[in-house]
Amino acid sequence: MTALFQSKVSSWLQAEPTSEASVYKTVFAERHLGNIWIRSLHGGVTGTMIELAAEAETRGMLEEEANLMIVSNSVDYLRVTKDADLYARATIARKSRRLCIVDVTCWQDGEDIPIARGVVTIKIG
Amino acid sequence: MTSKHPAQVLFTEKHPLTAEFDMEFHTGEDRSLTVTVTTPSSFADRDGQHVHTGFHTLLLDTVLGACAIGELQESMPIATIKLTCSHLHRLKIGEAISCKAIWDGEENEIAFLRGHIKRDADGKVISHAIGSFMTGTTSKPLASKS
Repeated sequence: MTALFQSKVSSWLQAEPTSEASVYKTVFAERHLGNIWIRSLHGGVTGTMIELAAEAETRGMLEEEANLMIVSNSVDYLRVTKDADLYARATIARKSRRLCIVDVTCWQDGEDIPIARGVVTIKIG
Repeated sequence: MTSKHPAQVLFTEKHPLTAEFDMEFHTGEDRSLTVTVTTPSSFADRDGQHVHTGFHTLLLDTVLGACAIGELQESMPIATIKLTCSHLHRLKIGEAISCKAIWDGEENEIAFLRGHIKRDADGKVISHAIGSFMTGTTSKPLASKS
């Protein structure tokens, strides 16, 4: 997980783990905007964070150097976002020998007001 | 003078995303939009050699949404409802790629599109996606809600 959050993609997202297990955070930056008039986050930024959180959670369960490949990501966008930090909770729904399926929920103001949810499928090995 | 695609008017050098990635827009006669770009080092994965698949997702969302903007009868804001991406292969940093989105139609204020990313060098499909977008969204962002 350490290497993932030291990568350039994590720097671009300004992504980091939080003190709470399985919860990750993206610190807002102007480059994360999609609609610059209403100042909402780009949907692809949310999607990328969902993938990153799913991968981080999976690496946390396996070894750090596990060979992983994100094979799919399906995201439902639930609410319009704002120019603020984004949080993501990743929960492993199922891990088999070759696949890991991870549910990720994102929020800004509160976990009870989610702005997106995603399901990420990761190939192991 | 060649007229610009409506999305290209939106994604000008002033937009933070396009200010960072040198994207070129090409309109197709099959109600499609193709954007060419070089995979950026800013999205390098933990190995430092490949781009993270999150970049594929970001690009597909951008191009599908941009295609929708261009195909709508009148200028209006849109919002992603659902985006499903499949990643077939990894991309290395610095590879020339093309992302194509195709308009499938609009019904009940929802636009439906599909798209893919291909590597220019060999034409291999790298990722593909289907997406739906709410057109003419009137929803207020969280910041404006009390």
